[in-house]
Amino acid sequence: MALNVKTLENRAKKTLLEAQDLEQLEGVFKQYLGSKGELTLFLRSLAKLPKAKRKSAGKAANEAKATLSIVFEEQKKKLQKGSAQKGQEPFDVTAPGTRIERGHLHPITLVQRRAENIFRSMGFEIAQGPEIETEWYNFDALNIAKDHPARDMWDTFWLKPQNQRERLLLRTHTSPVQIRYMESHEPPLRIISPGRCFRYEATDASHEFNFYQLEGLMVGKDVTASNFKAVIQEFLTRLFAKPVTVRLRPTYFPFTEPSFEVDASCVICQAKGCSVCGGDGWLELMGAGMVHPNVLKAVGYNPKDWTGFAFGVGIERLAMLKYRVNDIRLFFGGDLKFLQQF
Amino acid sequence: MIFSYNWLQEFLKTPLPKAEKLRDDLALHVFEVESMEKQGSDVLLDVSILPQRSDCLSHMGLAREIAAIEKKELVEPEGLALKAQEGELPVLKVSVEDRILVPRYSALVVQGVSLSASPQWMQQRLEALGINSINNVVDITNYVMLELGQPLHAFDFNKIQGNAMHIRGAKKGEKLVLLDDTDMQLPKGTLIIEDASRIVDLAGIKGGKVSSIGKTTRNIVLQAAVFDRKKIYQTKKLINYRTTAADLYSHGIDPNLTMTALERAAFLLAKYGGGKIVQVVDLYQKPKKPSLVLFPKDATEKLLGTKIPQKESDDTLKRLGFKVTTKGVQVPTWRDDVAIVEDLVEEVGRMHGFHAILATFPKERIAPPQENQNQVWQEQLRDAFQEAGFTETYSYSFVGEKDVLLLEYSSKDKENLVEVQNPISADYRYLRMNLLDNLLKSVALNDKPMQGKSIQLFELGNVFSQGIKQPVEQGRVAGVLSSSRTPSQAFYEMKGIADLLFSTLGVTDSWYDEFEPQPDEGRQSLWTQGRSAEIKIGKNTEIGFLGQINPEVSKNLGISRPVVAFEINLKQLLEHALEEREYRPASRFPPALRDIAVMVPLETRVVDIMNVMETAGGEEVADIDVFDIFEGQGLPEGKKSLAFHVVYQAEDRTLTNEEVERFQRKIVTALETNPGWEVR
Repeated sequence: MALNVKTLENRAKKTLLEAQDLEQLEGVFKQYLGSKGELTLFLRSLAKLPKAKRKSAGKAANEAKATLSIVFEEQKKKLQKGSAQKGQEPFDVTAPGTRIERGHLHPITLVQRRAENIFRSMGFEIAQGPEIETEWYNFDALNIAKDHPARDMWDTFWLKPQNQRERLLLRTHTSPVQIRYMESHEPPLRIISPGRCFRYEATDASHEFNFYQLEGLMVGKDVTASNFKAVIQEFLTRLFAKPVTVRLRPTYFPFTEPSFEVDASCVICQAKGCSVCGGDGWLELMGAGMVHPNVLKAVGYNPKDWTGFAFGVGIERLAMLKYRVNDIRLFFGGDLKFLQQF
Repeated sequence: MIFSYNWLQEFLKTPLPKAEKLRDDLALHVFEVESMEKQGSDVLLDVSILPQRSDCLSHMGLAREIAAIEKKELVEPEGLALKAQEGELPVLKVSVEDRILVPRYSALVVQGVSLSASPQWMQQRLEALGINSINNVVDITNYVMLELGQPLHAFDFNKIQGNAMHIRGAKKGEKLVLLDDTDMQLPKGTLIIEDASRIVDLAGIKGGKVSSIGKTTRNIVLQAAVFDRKKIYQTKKLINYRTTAADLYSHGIDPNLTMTALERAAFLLAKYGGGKIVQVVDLYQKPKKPSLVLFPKDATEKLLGTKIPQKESDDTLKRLGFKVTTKGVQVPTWRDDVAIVEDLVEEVGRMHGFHAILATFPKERIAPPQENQNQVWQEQLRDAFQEAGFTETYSYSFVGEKDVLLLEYSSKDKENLVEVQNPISADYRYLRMNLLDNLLKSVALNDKPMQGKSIQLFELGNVFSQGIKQPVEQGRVAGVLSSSRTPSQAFYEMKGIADLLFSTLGVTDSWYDEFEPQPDEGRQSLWTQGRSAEIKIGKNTEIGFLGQINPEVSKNLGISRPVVAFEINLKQLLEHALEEREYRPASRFPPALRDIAVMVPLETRVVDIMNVMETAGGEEVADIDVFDIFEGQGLPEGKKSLAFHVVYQAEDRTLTNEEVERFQRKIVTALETNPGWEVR
């Protein structure tokens, strides 16, 4: 009798595993374990056996029932999964996702926004001004003397004069915005002035005749070069999302005294030395300095009461470093293959 | 300027650091070195002398700076005491018209010079620094200039007619043939030197051919003059002619240097050219004295935020040639750039090293920065475009002569262009008067590469046109769509984009009107009549245009598909922008949807039909939406069919079928009161 149970179990198991679909599987299940199934009937027949035999045969039959139930459930799951796939188109999780067409902001916009947010968080206000400027705002008020070779540092686009009016130019930096702002505001103040500027120069991979600059100005009671270093280091660290240290070196600008060339530890190689930084680990990034007393005087501030720092950096230069763009001309080329990468 | 390492070494008592270290030290304390080049046993350094440091435009000058940086002792070059000896030459009479333009005129008359080649080492040095060797006399003038920064010039004494030299401003129409045979027209007022009968020299810039040193020269005038900085700078620009001497003069030189330079030249001449000094000229009416600048003890720390010990500060200044006195700091006459206390702070700070400044955040209280509202709105516009699938582009602020043709500028447009006096090239001669012209060029550029994908671009920027008194600068926003959609589909899509921008800014009173070309408005040739609209705001303020770009223009640019675009005046738009927004609870009651199709004459405007429907339907009409515009096949000639979804919804109840039907009938009746309209 016990042997029969085992044979029955093996046969049932084999048939269960051979079932091709759920319907077939249910059929096999009924055949053995349904109310009129072979094993069910066998269990019922045990009642007629003598007590001693009944016990051992009953145990074997119950074990067989449990085993077959498990096999049935497993096989059911397997077939369910299979049938779900069968009913639909082929499915491949590794196939690429649907491409969602989206719009793109220009990299200059992206970097400018990031810069604006960082400076805003440090208390700087955003100031804007015109792109056509007078000599006064672009040069004279900034202590850039007429008839001095220093004025040649800014190759300037001049507008063709009409009638007898004042000679006009395209601003060579956004410093005029600082002058205009100071004329209408009292210190202390902190501003940044991002905007389009123009230089009369030949274009190449790192020069453009129109470009974007971000200038900053802070004027207060005890503003020092040391403050500038802290602010600019914080800015660069946040912009490039990695620690940046800043090194100041002497240079000359008519509107600052002293003036600084600002080097930043290379954000590409972490100051180890690479082709971008020319191997010495430093990137020449921007100009800066302590606002020249003559500039403060030109806007009606008393230089005895106020000091300030100012700086200027090319937004394309920052974007080129941030996104590893190797040619500044791409920014104004209008090529969608470039623009759609941002 | 190019410097010779070995030459610099001659002015220092102890050895210079290696060239690489010297380069790094210079960069940290004074100037950047652009390049270094080994040449034989020498190294040539290309140093960027900053424009205010004309005192360093010479080997001696840079050596003085190096001596201070490296804490080394400076050695002055050997000179010869200038003593006139008895000679056979007549006395040279020198006179100056304007002493302000010629603060000092020093010269030697040397008799019996023997002209020959200069020594080999001198020739090599000059040539390494880019100066051709001519003969011993000319070479010595150049050598001393590179060494001390004082331009020298040698005249042939015998060619100075009447033994007279007069320095004056040129009169209108005067000319001079220069040493290099340039026939120079002299602008009025240019400083020149004339002898008894003719002009012999373009003062401070280049010698004249008539007075030049030649093979027969025996007697010379060796000039070490100082000319007005500005005058030479202006002349150099006016005649567009550059020489090393002119560059030196326009940066400004120390008037107390002329005699030192002549002593040095005399020393070299005695050694390599012979002759004897027979006359020393020195017209110097107002000798320049050192200036005094007050230097409070706390000045450096106040400006740099870093303390530098008093002793270090004093020592630094002394090494640079300043005198520290109880009254203040005495500035040497070669340091014209130092005039105020901040200049002294720079001297002390850079020698200490600006790189040693520590970073400390400002102590000042931070007031929350003012929000620049215009700028916030501009960013919102950018975001709205991006969300709608547009790509931002930045174009040049210029257009060129070709563009004026291709983009079909009217003669009025051309008059309105702002012209650049010194354009980079003809392609960038004018300032852009709109954004679309350059945006269309970008569309053309991407036409093929995008292989049939639609091109959707936008830009924010300033444009320029002629105003009554001066050019007018105006902020604009523009978008373009070039796609395979029909021009009508594209038109409605772009109109939707414009509406999206308006709703982003909370502008509620914008509308569209028939396009009517006005001769005084710019760039009308861009638009296709009948397929363009004026964008208006408020009562009747035109703020821009929307429509299909003139197919002729598209064709000229090589754009293969129809383009629909708009351009809006940013300032006028932002004036109507509103920050506030009010929430209106959505109705809890279900909406009912009905469709209405109406056949109308082709020229009927959708807006007029919708107005009728809205008025007739009353408050319960929640929304009307055009979902189909159809004309052509199956319709009578001159008719089009419009289909609308009308959404009925009440705030306070569920509308019954009967109510909805009643509203719908009211609308139909209202539409049909117009005899040309037929509800289908």
